Amino acid sequence: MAWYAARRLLQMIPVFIGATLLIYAMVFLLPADPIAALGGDRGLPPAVADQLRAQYHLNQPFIVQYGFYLKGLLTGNLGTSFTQRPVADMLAQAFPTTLKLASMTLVIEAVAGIGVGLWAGIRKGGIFDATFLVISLILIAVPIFVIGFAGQVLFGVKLGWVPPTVGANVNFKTLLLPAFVLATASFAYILRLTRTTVVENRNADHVRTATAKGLKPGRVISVHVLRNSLIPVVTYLGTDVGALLGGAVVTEGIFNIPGVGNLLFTAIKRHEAPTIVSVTVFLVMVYLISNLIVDLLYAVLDPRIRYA
Amino acid sequence: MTTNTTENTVSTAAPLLEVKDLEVAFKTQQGEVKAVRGVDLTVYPGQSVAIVGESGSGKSTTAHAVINLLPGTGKITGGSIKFDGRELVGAGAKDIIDLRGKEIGLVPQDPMSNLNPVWRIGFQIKEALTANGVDTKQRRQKLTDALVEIETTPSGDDLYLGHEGKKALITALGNAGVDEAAVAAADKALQVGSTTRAQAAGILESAGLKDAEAVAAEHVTGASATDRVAGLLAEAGLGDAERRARQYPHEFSGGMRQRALIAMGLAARPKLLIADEPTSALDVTVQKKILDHLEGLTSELGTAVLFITHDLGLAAERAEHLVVMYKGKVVESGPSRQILKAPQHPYTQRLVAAAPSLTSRRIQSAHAAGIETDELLASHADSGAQKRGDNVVEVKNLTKVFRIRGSRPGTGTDFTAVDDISFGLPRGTTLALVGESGSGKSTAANMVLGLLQPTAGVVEFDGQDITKLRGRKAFQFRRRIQPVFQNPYGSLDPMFSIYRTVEEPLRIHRVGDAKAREKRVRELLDMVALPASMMRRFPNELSGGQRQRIAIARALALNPEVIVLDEAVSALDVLVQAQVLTLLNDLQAELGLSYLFITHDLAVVRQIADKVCVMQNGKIVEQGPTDQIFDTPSQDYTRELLAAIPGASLEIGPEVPAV
Repeated sequence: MAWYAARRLLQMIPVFIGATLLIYAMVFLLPADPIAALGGDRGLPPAVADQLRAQYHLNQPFIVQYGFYLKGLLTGNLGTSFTQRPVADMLAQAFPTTLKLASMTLVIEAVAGIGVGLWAGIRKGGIFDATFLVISLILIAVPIFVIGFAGQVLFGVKLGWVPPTVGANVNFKTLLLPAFVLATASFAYILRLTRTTVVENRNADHVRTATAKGLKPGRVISVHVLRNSLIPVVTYLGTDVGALLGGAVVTEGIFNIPGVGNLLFTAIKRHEAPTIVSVTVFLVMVYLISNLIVDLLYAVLDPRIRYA
Repeated sequence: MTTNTTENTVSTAAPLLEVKDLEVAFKTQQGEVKAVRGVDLTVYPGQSVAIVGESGSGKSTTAHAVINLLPGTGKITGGSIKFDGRELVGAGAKDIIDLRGKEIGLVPQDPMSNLNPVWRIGFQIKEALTANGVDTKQRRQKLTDALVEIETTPSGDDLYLGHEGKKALITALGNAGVDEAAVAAADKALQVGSTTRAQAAGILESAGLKDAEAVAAEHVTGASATDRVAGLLAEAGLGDAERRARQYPHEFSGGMRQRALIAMGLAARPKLLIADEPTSALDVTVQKKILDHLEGLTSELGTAVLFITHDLGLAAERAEHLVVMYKGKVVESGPSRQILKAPQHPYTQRLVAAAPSLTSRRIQSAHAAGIETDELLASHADSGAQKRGDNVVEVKNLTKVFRIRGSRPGTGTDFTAVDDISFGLPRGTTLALVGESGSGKSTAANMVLGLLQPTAGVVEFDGQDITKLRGRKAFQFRRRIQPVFQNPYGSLDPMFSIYRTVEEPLRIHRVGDAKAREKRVRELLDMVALPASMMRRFPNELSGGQRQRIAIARALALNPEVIVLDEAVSALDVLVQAQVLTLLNDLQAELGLSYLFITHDLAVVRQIADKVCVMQNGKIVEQGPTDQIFDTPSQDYTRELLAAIPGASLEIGPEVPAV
């Protein structure tokens, strides 16, 4: 397993170089002059603009700029934004918020999705099953910003149960509604996935054998159906962890949450190349590492998996 | 085998299981389908009964109905099931759960799918102990106390040896100055979780310990559930049971898994064991060992066994009483020997005449009596003109090595699947490549077909080395040799109509125009005795036997000289199997085909093959004419394989019952 983990970590190097180069090139090719935009309508004095261009190596060819950027990354310098704030500082501020939101979302979607999916799978074809199949279809079909705004209006404004926006006030209570909104789509997928695998596993030969041993129905479900059914669900959750940690641009926008998604969105609007590239690369790495962790955890659930 | 006397005594006792007029129906989209229609069945305590029938006869459904394990769509619609005097039809869920495992055990069919892959073997067996209240020695004690009152066993004699107890016994032997060989023998004989106090005393005594009984009484004080699991596995014939119990199913071979399932089925010492095709998925030699073991174990424990099987030879050999089912009904039942000797119902008569294991046995007794056996054989159509004596396929020193990747770089190992084999296939005859799973027979077949590149050696087809053929020549070569595979459900494209399936090889090889090809497809369907109207249908509308005929028609499309039949009849029911074998034989006589017949089933080989190569671990251990291999095998392995054919111990004459 150590060899497997080492190989996966080594595989990250080319991914890292590829991702930075690609993103850097895309930002470089954006048809806008960030320095000119910095001055607003009046424009910067030419001397100041030139100085800024030199500071950010904007007057050099692309590959040289990229080289400077890589050098910075390797020395732990993620660069500074055009507003002179270090990107690392901004990430350090935004990432914990995203982490909180992501973990709340993950717990909600996993618990609700697996719970409802299990019950629907056991009572396949019943009222409960049919109801949640329709609900999940709606949740998948409706775009997240509609659910977000509807939730905000209903629970935040009309009923006043939770604050409608988060702002600087990041805590469990303010993040609760955004987490539920963010969880809806994945909840629907997890529900359906769990239901399908539970139905499949309930008909498995080894489950019939377990019943024939004289086990009570509850134990057959919890020991022989649930654990086997969770294997594909965990795979899905693994990719979802990466996606959630990457920040939720839309949801963070609706509820004004100062997370990574918001940071990235603002940087793109301002054409801040160093910020965009650094944040994106950071997210790529978070995605790869969280996937590796999930893959390793997988073996805990399924002993057949050999890491080779 | 149990003698006639026990048969007579059990019939006077009260029946253990009494099924009367049982009807089971399945809900389908076409409405209710009756799978079991009025089945009567009686099993007496300690008796072994076998239900024999082909797939779809309702034999498994009947067995599952007894312990209420029918799938969601199935329902008992009539009749009664009495177990030990209690009515089970309409009994409460709790009563059935109490019955399962504790009084009626189940050994399921497919060992590969019947163990939960994510739990350790030991855990899964321990569950059976816990659920049935026999996990701790205190809970077991209640049971044994009850037994002690009935039987005349001295109290405590059926306590099992525990982990600590065994260590103490070995130490005691060492202290008493018993010599090392005897200690080692005792160490082997004493099985944690299975050896009882009385047995332990016996073992200690034979090792030379004086006060054996007292020592045994001191240290054999009962086993924990974990120890008992190891004991059960050891009883089921699994070596190194304590370590094995900590492994997962994927670390077990098929035979080992089946032993674990037997341990599970017998864990709570049920009165009745339902063995649903317990060994159909296993190699013959493993099958024999496991059935022998099961037989010994159940007769020792006095467990009644209800076998479910499609193999008449196996049923007759293992059970005292046979129940033959056909299309949901019992067509005939009676003592095994009587049914084999004088089957009454036409279906039973056909079954007795067709079962390969029985035919093989008949040929053997005919040879012993010096009788010619041609009418018993499906093959040996002496198409003398075809026999020019040359080999159409000549395999020389063929070897295939696979590289297996290790867990870390540089730890890969080589696996030799086929190890330096040589054989020749004479034109117009049938050569059987026989071996158990993993013997390399299919790998060899793939190399002969040119589908796999050998590591070393040559495959000559008509004097031409096919391993070096490339491009157009390789393409042309493929016309001359065609395969038919084992699973007719997997080897036909479900999206292709029958016409397209059979026509495809013609189109790929640009044979004739559309009209000529259609004519050829009609001709081919006619050859395999299927109506031309079949062309427009799809594989899912066909039965297994029909599909296999289609596969044969497809193989014949390009007028090949050789057909490689890779387990081509293994997945088929006995009667269908016999029909397909006859068809293959007729085609051989008609078209002068040569067959390379890959199989694990020696009984079939005897009927069809002219020459046999026996493979083991990638090597050919013995080859020669079929009669020579069967009558005077020179290798132990061949003898073992032959002895493992079900029905080998049956006393049946060479005559085929009148049909």
